[in-house]
Amino acid sequence: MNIINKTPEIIDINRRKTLKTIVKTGISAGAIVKAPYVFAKNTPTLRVLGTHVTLQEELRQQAMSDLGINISFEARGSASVLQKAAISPQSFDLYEQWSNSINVLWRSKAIQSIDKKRLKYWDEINPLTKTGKVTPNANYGAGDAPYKILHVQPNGKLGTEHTDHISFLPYVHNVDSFGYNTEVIDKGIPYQTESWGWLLDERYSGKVGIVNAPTIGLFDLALAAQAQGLASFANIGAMTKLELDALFKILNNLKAQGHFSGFWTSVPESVEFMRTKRIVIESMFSPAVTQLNSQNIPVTFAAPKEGYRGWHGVMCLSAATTGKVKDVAYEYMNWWLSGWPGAFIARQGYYISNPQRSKPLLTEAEWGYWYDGKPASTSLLGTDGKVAVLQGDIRTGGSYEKRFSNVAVWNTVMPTYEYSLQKWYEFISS
Amino acid sequence: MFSSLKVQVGAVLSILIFLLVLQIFTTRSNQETLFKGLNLSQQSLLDVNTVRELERDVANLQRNVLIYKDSASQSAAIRFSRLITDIEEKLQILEHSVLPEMDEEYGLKLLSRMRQHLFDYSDNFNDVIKGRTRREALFESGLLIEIDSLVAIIEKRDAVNNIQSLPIALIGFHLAQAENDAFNYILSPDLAHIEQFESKIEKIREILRQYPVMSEQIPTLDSSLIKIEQNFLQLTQVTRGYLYLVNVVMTGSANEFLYLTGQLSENVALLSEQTNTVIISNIEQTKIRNDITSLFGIIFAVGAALFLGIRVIVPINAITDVFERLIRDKKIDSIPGLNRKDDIGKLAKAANVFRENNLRTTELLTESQHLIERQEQLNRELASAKVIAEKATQSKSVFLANMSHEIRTPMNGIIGLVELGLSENMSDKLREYLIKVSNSSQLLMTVINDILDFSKIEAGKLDIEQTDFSLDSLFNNILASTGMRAREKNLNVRLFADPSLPKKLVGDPQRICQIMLNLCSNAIKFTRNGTVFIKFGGESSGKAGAFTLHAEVKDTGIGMTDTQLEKIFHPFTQADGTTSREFGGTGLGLAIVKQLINLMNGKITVTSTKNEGSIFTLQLKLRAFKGQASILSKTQPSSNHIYYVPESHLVNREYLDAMTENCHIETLRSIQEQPFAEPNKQAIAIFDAKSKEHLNALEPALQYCKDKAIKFGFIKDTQPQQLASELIKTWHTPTLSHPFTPREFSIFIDELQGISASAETLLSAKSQPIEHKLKGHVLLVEDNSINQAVAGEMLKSLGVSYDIAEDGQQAVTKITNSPYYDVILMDIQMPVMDGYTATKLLREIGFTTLPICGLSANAMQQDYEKANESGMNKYITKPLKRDVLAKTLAQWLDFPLP
Repeated sequence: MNIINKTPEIIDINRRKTLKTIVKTGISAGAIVKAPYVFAKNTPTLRVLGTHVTLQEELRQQAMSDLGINISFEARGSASVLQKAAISPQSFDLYEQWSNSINVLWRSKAIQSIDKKRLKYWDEINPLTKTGKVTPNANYGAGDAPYKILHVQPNGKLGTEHTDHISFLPYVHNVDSFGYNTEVIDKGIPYQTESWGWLLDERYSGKVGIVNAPTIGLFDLALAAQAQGLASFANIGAMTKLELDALFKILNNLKAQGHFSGFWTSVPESVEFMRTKRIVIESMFSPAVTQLNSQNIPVTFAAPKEGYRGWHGVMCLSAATTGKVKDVAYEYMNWWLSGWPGAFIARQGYYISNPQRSKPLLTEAEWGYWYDGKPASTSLLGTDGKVAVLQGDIRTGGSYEKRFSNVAVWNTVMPTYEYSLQKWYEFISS
Repeated sequence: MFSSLKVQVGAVLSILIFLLVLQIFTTRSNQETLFKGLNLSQQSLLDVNTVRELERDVANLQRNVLIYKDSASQSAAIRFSRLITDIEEKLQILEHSVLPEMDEEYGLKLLSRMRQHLFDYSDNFNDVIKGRTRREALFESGLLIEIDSLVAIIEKRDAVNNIQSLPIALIGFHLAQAENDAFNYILSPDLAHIEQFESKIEKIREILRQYPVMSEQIPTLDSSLIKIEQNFLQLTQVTRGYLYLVNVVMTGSANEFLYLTGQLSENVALLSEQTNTVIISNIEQTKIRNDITSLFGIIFAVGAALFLGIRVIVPINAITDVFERLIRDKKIDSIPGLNRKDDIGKLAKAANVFRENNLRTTELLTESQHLIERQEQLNRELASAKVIAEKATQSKSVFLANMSHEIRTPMNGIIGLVELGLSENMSDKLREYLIKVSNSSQLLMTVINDILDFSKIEAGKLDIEQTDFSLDSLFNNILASTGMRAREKNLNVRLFADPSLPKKLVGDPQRICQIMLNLCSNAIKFTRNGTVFIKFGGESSGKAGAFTLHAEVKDTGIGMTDTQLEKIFHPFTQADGTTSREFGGTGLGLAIVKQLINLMNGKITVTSTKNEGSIFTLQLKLRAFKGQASILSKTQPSSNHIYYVPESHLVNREYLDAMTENCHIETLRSIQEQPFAEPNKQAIAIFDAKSKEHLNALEPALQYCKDKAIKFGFIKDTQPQQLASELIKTWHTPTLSHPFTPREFSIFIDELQGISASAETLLSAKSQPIEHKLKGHVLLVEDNSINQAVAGEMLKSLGVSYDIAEDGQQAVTKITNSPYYDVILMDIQMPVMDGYTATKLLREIGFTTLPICGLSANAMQQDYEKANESGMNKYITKPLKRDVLAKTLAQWLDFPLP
């Protein structure tokens, strides 16, 4: 779940497991059905570079099992992942990260375009990435909205005009906001009273946590400042240097007053912040909320009236990948949209771009809770087998459509990215 | 069991020891707590310090990262890694010191998060280094060199062809601008620079599109452009990457690390505080615990002391007091602790027993004191009674002495006068009367002497002499008296003495004689017919001349029963009452014998058979000089033959063996058949002579002896008396009658052998008194007129003239006036002046050589001594005997030859 911290972790546990299996199956003479890929000496190994969000062991095992291929996962922090991918496309076949990395990768030509025609379930993909609106009344959302960077334009740049080639496979996505402890903060009303502005509310001074990532946390803070009326932005998805200066002046003041308790760098850390009551309100990712709730810590994932901060997962094909591995890469992409993975990540609170294919694999209660925004008709288990949702709980922010209709801004690498890095540094280290 | 004091005291001591141990344990644990607390406290300080250092290190770390980011300084990188190591070490230290004290889960999480951040930080820094290095490389070689080489190619082309110089110049210009943009980006990473760079490259592409010739002329131009563009893009990516790492990720890590450090610091501080609090409270607790333990200990110790005091010491003191009082015999009213069941109780019971014993002892003492007093009184009474008794005895003795004196004095007169009378011519009838008077007087004297002796012995005034005496004279004295009495009763008397007895012994001959005479006279008295045997023997007792004399008196008399035997040595007792009626006697004889033998350390035993006779056996402890001749030893052993012809063994074989080595015992028959084989002159023959009939039988043998001139003699028993004179008359040969002494036997043998005087002489010498004739003038000092008469007559008969003095005074006067007396006979007890005083006076006034002879009826040893002391020359006892007087006077007066 670590999306930012970049711990290199080449997954080879499974190899050992399979080697053990070889020994076992060797003895029982050719029980190869269970692991056909192990024996396929010619079977290519698909190297996947990405973050912990999607590089989950269960998924790898399932994929290898389903596809009969070898897959290696290299999970890193998002910055590291991006840098590695941009500099050395030869080091991976598939890249799994966020839409805000597409511009960089595309411009550096580290990735190649994906042929729509080879995507089995392209037609099933919902309008969010195709038109930018999951419903007709939905906001596009500021910043790098996925639909703006999906299609490869005839001039080689990325744009909204639909072509046969796309820069990434749309798959996992979600909206994030902030979470707050209702023991301390009165529970607000989604979309009405809950506001990003709470992050800067001086009532919670010293008890506020922010994600340590300028491409994410900066938007949380900008939305908060905007909500508080402290700052305004011409385009919140592309803040100017002046706007950044103004924003950080406010933030630095608050920081000096000890308003911010910490800047987390991983989901477990954000859980720890909340659990230890170091903070009572913080930027959050949805799995953290699920975890805290399962620990009986009453954290509400807000549905801010200003709208969510959206993020969209991207699966990119390395510019260096060709031939058979490229074929396998397409197989893996198609597998992702084949239903099971969508159902799997649905139980972690993530959405898939073609949810209808996953729907049959979810119970009605699960679908109702995770997608339809209905109260859980039964208690729901997470992918770890623990109860993640108690019966009668309602997902904050409502249904999939409701939530994605209220995206204020997407995680974005702004033109002032380098400047923001400097400002961020000054902010967090002040 | 618990009632035992030992157990109680033991329990108390055990608890005390337990408390002590507890105290020690508590103290130890307290010390440990304190020690631990101190350690903790110190550790806390160290920890706080470590945390501070950690914070400082992290700040340093960040500074070095920034330095590196800006200058790519290698030293910053080295410092960085050193700091990382330091921090890791500190974390390690903290993990060991702080973690165990903290909430484990929390602490572990904290530390692991710190480690994670540190690791990430370090890892990211490595990436930063890589990125920074790569940026340098990209900028230098990938960008600047590439641009320069492209510019060089273009300029070269321009110089060669010299055509279309404008586009070439434009390209160079744009390249230079792009290079400028790249520099700008390096200085200040900004999207604007990237876009400008890209627009410059686009402009070059546009020029190339306008002048396609260029591409043909310079084939590497396109690819070179792509390379430049690509490298720049990479450069920007790398730059963004490490900027992101430095500005966001690492800073975040560092911040979080610092935050966690802060947490740790807080925790450590809290822990330190807690530790302090704990230590303080521990110390408090320790103090309280100590106080409690001590208090408890003190209370218990006091309790124990009180317990011991009340339960043990005070009762023991009380008991000790009781015992002391008991020892001092003071009165005890009550004993404390009697009802207790423990050791004190036992002690108290013991004390009680002690007290009761004391009481009993006191009672006993009182009782015995009374007894002793009574005893003493009795003793006193006894002593006084004894004194009285002794006085009485003494008075009795004195009385007896006086009595004996008073009796003896007239008896002396009677005896003396009768004796004198008998020497006158008178009718036979008168002579017979006088003889009877004389015998009666003698008998009376004997009785008186016995009574006197007994009295002396009773009074302890009888002394045993130790003088040497001749056994022969002893035998003579015994036989003189015994023989006479035996003849009166026609009894036979035989004396046998062991021939080996020494001639002389040391002892009191008078008393021995007295004993023997007593026994013999008794034997004779109680024997109606038969023989009285007197035997003497003896043996050397070995040491220093000690000699035991055996004597035996055997009779064939009436004998005694056992009952009688038991009483015979008691005074005034005879075998029974009838004895005295039949045999007369005072009954003092044997009592005196017994007493005398006791005085001589002797022994007397008696065996008797009624109607058969009695045997008295006695042993007397005497002394004998060694090397003496025996009573029957010959100086020259005779080789003469002695032939003895016994009839009733009147001669002992021992006597014969003592006389000769050649003794032949012959029978009457053997001498009748063949009288004395080869007789010669040295042979003598001895015949037993019993009766006339017996002599007739001997006739041939006697005749033979006479014919052959063999000397022969007869031995006959005491009876018949007339036989002796007949034998002498018929055969004119020595005849020896029993009883005889060994010496008489020896003389008899000598006479037969012709060595000594004739038998006649011997016999006459024995029976005829010697007639003394003296000449001189004697002063008889005597107050009693009868005694004057008796002594005067004796003196006259001895041919001595005399004067008489009535008392000592007269004697002194007479001697002084007419000092012509040859001898003074001085009575002791006299009126006016006694004999001792007179003698002394005479010696004092100058009559030192005048012989003075004392006369007294008191025949006691002390009297002799007294006489000696006063200066008397001699002392004789009354009644006076003529021959004794003669013998005494003969010492000083001329003794004319007969």
